[in-house]
Amino acid sequence: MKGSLTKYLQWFFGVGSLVLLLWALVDSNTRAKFLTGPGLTNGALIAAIALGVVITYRGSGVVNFANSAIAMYVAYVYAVLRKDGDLFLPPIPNPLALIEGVVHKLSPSSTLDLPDIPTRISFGPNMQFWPALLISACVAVLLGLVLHFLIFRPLRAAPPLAKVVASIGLFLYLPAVIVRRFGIQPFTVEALPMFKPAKRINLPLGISMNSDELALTIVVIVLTVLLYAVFQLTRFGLATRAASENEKGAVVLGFSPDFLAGANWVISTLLTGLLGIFAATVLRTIDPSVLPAFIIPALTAALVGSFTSFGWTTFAAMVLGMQFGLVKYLEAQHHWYPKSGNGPFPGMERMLPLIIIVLVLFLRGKSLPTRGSISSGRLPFSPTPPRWAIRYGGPALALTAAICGLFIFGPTFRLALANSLIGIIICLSVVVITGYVGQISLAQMAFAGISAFLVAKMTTEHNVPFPIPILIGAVVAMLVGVLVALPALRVRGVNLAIVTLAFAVAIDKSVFGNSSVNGGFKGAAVKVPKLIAQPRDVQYNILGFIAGDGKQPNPMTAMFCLVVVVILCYAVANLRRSATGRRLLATRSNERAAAAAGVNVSGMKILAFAVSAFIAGVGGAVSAYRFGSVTPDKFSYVQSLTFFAFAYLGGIASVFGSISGGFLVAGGLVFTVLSEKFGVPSEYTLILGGLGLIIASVRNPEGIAGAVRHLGLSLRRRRAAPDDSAGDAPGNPHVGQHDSAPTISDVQEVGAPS
Amino acid sequence: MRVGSYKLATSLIVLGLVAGACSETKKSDTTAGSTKSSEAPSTTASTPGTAGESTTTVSSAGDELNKWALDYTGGTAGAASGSSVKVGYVNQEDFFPENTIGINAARDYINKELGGVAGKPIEIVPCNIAAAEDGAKCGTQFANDATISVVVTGTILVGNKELYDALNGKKPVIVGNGVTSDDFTTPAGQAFTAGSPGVVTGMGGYIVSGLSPKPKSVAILAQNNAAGKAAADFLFKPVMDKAGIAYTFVGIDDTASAADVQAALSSVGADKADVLVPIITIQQCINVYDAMKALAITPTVVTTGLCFGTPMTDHLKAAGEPGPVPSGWYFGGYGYSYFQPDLASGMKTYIAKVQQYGKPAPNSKTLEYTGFAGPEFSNLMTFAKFVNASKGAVDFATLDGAIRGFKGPMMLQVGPLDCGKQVILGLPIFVTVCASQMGIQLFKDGKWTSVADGLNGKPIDVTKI
Repeated sequence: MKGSLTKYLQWFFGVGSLVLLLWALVDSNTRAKFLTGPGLTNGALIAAIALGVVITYRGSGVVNFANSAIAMYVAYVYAVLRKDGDLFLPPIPNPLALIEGVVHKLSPSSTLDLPDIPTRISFGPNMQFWPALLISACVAVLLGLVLHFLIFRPLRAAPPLAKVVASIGLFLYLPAVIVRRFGIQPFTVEALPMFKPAKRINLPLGISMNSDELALTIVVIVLTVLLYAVFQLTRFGLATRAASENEKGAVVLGFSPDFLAGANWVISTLLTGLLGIFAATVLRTIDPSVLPAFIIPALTAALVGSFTSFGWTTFAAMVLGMQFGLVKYLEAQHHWYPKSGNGPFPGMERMLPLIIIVLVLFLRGKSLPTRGSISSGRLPFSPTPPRWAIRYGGPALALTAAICGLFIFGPTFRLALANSLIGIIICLSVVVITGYVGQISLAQMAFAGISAFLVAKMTTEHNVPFPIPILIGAVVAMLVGVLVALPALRVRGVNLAIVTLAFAVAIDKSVFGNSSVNGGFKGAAVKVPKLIAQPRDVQYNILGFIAGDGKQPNPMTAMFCLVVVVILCYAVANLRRSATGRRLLATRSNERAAAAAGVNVSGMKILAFAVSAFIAGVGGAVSAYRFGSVTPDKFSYVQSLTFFAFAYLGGIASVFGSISGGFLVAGGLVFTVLSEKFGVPSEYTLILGGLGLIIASVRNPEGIAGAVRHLGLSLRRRRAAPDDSAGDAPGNPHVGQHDSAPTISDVQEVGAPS
Repeated sequence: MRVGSYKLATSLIVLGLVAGACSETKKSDTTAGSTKSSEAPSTTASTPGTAGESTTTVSSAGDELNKWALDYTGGTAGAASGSSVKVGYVNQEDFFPENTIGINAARDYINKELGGVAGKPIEIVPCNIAAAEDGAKCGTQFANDATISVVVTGTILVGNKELYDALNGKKPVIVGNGVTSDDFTTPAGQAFTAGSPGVVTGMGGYIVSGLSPKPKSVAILAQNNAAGKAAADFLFKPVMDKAGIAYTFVGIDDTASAADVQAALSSVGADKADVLVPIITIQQCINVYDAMKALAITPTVVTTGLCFGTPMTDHLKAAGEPGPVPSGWYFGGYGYSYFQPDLASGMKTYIAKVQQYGKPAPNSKTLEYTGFAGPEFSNLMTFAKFVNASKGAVDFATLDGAIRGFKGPMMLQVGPLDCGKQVILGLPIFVTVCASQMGIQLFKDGKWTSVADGLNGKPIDVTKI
């Protein structure tokens, strides 16, 4: 019965999509807005990014979320070479600055001035086309080698989570470097010499394009055919295909999966970089946000192509590129188009990738790509919180935070404490969904935002008293989380990451960008109880002790956040210790084994999504009360990625990890110390966060919490058994894993039958 | 041992990067093998009146300019001395570095030539907004700092509400270049410029009653964010509705590509519309220009001053077009023109002094002064006027009273001010906005023309629309 219903639904969606596509093509008005030059150009731009994603996946099994950022980075290299003749460098560690900093700290009057590492290498005035292209291509190749050897090769045996995390780290890091070097303003890029002056070319069906736009489209299509041929007909392509199907089999046949992965990384970054340059010259300007944003439709297209088919990927990219014009036409010209306030419903063009993804997953869920890897990797270990931590550690930590927030911290650190506490809540939500169940959700801030905007409405329009809106907001977020969980029943790993990311983008643009939700000029204010209102210069007499310094922020704001954090930390820790927690971990470790052991795998996934979204919803509501207003920027999809990054960095599988992650968030305690005590500007948050994420994913997947746990275990062993065997030596990377690690092997997609 | 080495190396890299951050922050960018980009960048700037095509070396300002400035600020000629008067300054540097060019140039000018404020030098205490959380941080920092006399904001896209909430009733606030809804509705301070409520509404007013023949259809292209949509929905469309002019509208994302914009222009019917109104950022303005060329359409374009600046000038130059902005476009602004500097509004003084004292933004070789730098310069000049008038009193009550009671004239802004009382299109919500007049200028065939502004005495009063 259940199976036949699914079949009917699949038919319904399949036929419905076909009818819609036919309507778009048959009706002359809609066709004229669908088959357009800009649409094809857009499609070619998406395809350019998507093809790189497919090559990387086929070669190395990595779904590269940073591919568009790589395109942008190489395009900047080219553009700056052409304009200034300079090769810019990313921030490079300068050990001399440490010495200089210490000397200046000890002796403020010191004039010690040690050399800085240059930020650019100059080749003279503006560079000609070919040398600039050659240097840019070298940078792209170098980038490919660095990515392979330093990041993704060490992660070859790691679970998909680690690879996703590393590529998200890159996605955050590369644009942050560009912002650091060039700011956010658009950078002019001249058209390629062969396309100057620009010519307009008229094609059949009323399509009109500039010559370089047409050339880009042709290049992408030719490249698609070439890649198909290379991967179908050449020995290298066959070997790559063999390795992507089964690495063990490829090894037996005499191919080196490692070499193939490296070669494919270089091919991918080179092609992506060159296409990025071409795209930038077609767009005529480049900035740190436009090209990276292409990753969402590019991943959608790659997903349609099952991360293997170049043809389907390019086709899907073209459709996604062309739909934009059609949606905008309907938005502008048709009265039946959904309205919101005094204008059309925003962001519908961003909804389409989500709809396509959900359709693809629904129709083809079981045949989505999985990849055989040469060896299995573990997800970060999720320790059971020990009794001493529950009984003494937690209360001690909470008490310390309370004492600091009430009596010790000044205004700046009180604010940082509140930021960290809200960060902890969001990181906790990531721990439940990703740490406990192994499902990668990149939409946590979308859940938080839904709750936050609801709190604003409830408090201002319906006068719902505190703290009821927090619960209502969290419950609504939970319900939305359950809806998002439905695709998770059919997919996992990177595919789920893509679904949730597309969901976050769609919610960001369609819901949070909607003036009915964000309040337009009036904004979305929140009625905050006076006791916890942040901008108040107050002091409190607590048992004879004076809390606060009479300056804002109100110390009770942080205490309110702390109370919520303590409740949630205990709830999540107890969840981990409970039978449900063990079932969640069993689901994470091996779904089939868990099901065989009587665990309701689907139920566990839905439960995890529900609990995680509920916690994120509480986080959003607390943020709304804390700030006294809700704005879309706090809940954008980039924020979801950033919080995911810090949650991973802190330690994604434990409550202590989320506490560490909360300390690291933007405006949190760690960056405030760096900023206030060491003068590190706050724009370094994303550079250090992205870099930290990459390093953590490669060297220390258990994050800060894991490192602390290993240190504790190591010290305990040394004290308990000084003559212990070499197997427990501190240098042994397996130390600390065998003692309490799950007995069932961790989640794998190895050889999963289609 | 090996693991330990890795950890040590990793720690050193992170520490070094942190230290490198300090190092880079402390000094400007350095270039290996050349001194051209970082060491004493040669300042080039658009020359007013010549459409920004040539460059010029700045000469010392004439007495006439200083006289105007001394009259405006009420200062005394000469350098300031003694303990400084601190001004808190909040800006989103990554996005709007030109604000800082303006306020720093004004500080140097006031301190070196206008006798400071009541004889004392001004010290700018900056606070950068890099993330939304920084709004509350900057707000509390300044609210709690007794030495800060006034807070001047630059242009901020995130964290505005938290910033104003923290400062409300604690510090006098001059809202610099407002772009978000909170900048126009906060009770924490006042904005001496018309902002988007004035400019966007005024553009609508001009289209309805200034353009000849009166247009029958308008295509609107707005940024698909809260501020962009609010401007289009609540400030522009009602003017068209009232006049019975048909319009179409599409929103475009902040991350829209040139191809997206081209598709949007085509979809909104810009080819058939009499007037195209882009209410967008400079990145998208560039895309609109390219899209119009690609689509070979020539509607009358009425847009905001956001569409001019170095990126547009560079882009047009690369496209082989003369002039700093596309020919035939109308620009809404605060009533005076960087490109037609006059003495009475203070524009001549501003242009000369920003070129004399201004320094290009980090990573830039061009002195960008045609965007938000001007209003920021004039805000600090106006602060100097208040302190000089109060004989050096910088307490909250005195300064806040002076700010809220300021009736103008305001440097670079046309018309009288009436803070907190502006009702625009029947909306009494813009309590921060003090100015009610704006201007329209046309750039055509290499020449700027005053269409309806302070220069020809025909500014548009948006409260009468």
